[in-house]
Amino acid sequence: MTNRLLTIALILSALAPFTAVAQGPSGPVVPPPTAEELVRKMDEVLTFKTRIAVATMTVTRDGKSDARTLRMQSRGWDDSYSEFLAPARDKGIKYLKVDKNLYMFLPGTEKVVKVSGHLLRQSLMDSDFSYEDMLESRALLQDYDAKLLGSETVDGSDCWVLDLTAKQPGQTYARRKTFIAKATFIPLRVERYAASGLLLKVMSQSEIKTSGAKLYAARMRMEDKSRAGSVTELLITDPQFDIEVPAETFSRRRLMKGD
Amino acid sequence: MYLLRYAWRNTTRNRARTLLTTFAVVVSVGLLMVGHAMLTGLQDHIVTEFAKQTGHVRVRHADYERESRFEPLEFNLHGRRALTGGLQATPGVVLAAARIHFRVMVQYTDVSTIVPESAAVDEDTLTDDQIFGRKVLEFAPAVAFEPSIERGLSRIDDRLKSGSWFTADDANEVLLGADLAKRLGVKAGDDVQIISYRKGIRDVEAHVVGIVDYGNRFANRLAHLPITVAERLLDLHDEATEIVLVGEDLEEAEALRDTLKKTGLVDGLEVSIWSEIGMARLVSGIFRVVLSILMFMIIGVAGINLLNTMMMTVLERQREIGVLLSLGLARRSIVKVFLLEASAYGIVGASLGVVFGGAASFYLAETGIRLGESTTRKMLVPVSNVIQAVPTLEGLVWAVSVGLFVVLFGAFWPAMRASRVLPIEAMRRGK
Repeated sequence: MTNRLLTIALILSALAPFTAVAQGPSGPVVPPPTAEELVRKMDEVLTFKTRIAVATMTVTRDGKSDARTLRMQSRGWDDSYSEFLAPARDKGIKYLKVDKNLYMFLPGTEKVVKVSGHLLRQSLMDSDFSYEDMLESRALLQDYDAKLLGSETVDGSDCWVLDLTAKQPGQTYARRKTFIAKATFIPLRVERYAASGLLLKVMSQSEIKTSGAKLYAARMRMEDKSRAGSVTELLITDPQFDIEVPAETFSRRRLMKGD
Repeated sequence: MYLLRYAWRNTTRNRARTLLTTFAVVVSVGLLMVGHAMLTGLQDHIVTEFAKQTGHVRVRHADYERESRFEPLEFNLHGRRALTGGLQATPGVVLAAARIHFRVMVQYTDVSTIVPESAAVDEDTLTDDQIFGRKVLEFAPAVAFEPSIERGLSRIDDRLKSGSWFTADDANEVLLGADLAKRLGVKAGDDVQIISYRKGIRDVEAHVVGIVDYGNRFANRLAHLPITVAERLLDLHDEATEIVLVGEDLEEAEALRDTLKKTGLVDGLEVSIWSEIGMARLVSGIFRVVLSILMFMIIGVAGINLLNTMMMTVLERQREIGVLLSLGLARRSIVKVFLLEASAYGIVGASLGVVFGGAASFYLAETGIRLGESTTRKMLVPVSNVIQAVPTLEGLVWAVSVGLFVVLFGAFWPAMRASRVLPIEAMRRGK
């Protein structure tokens, strides 16, 4: 759950990946006695009511970079609305995540596509994120058995190493190895494995900042190990937490109208 | 001459056995002729269909083949129009057609299920179908081309099940394979959304101008688009995955490639002739293997029959052979007698086999053999349900040669064995 919350918070949550923490960066760090408690602590840190931010998603592949700008609005972890602002070719593409469903509005035809089935496995805007990554459940402990493996250092930060193993086959990732900063409870690195043990993706977060009382990771990096030489970075700028986001933002009808 | 008369007389001693042996040769030669004609017909048909896809010569980026299973757009040919024009102007090139291979999603929306906002129904009580319309989304391989040029190459319009060919080279239109259209629940005249998910997401609304039935499950999943529409979808500018060229004669593809290379237009590019491209190599190999299997089966059946017949003949004539040897007939002449007898079976049987096999081949050239849709649907290239035989002189010569060889081979060993027996021994055994 630990990894997941962070991962979800930042990565998926429909293009609104940030990290919000309810503690100060220099707060007391008490190692959680159990893996479950560590997951719950991470969950608390990442919890917010609403969030609005602008992010730059840069896909680097074979030495070439392609940047996109998007505006993200989230309501908790379940609902989010994102709109691509630039470049011109992607402007107006919108994603709406509500009730564990994901929809995209395509301005070319002004029509909505529900992202489901095989499409979930496709990459989000040619990035290293998949649509499945966006739809990951926050309830990690429901789907995974958590085990605390010990401590390791990631980019100079002391981290708890949490091993999450899927309870049932069929999960997108059979195993997740999550490195949670002891100081902030933000997952700094999440390794996602297939059932065969193959490392599929590595998500890492850095540049931990504060916005009001919240901590968040300003930079998220995702590597899809099946695409050699490919990496996607999401840089979040000026996030605002727990401010009012109109309910109609998450309306399917509004999405269909392209508003 | 007396050996010939003697051999001929031997063929009449046991008429039933002679008829059976001759019949075996007739069937063998006949089957070989028909088999060769059918396999030639199948090969010609597949090669013709395959050449519609590959052209006689195909030009691609040098690195495309290595990554072809991913249909990599980064290994496209640039300056498509100028390159196509230059190739088209090359002596010996009849037609040059640019194509883009990629993958799309095709979505059909049935708007009849939408509950209008004016109905003032709470959104939370509405299903997705009631808000967005009932949607059917399918992934499909797509081939984009210039419709006016492609029509003369692949003759896709011959396979139209309904609707028509593209109305213009830049029209927002799509031709759907029959299976794809069926899964989407669309017919000619409907509109669908074509979505590209490479290098980001882009879509266009396209009018389903026609439905194509290739009779093949792979081809029937295809979506065909004008290349200008594909360029918009993929954010490409004057690019193509490949340019296929048709020359005056398929057999002259190698010479055409040499000509193209001399122009300098294809420097640094991969230039393949049709026979070097995956399926063609496979078809050619399969043809040779099947022909070999057929030949060995027939040789086996006919050879064993002949061997049996000749062995029986030798055993029955042990005493006679002993007498002939005692009278001074050379052992070589004994062998000649049996080989002449076998030749008689071979010549008569092969002649009748040519008559019957030829008649059957020409009949099958007219009517063909129906392979069945369940068979052709699974093939990697679109193949007609009915395959016509192609009788050739090569097939006739091959069948007769194999038939005669089998007869002589079947007779040779018993004849050699007969000639090596001592006269006294032969007479004793023959009692």
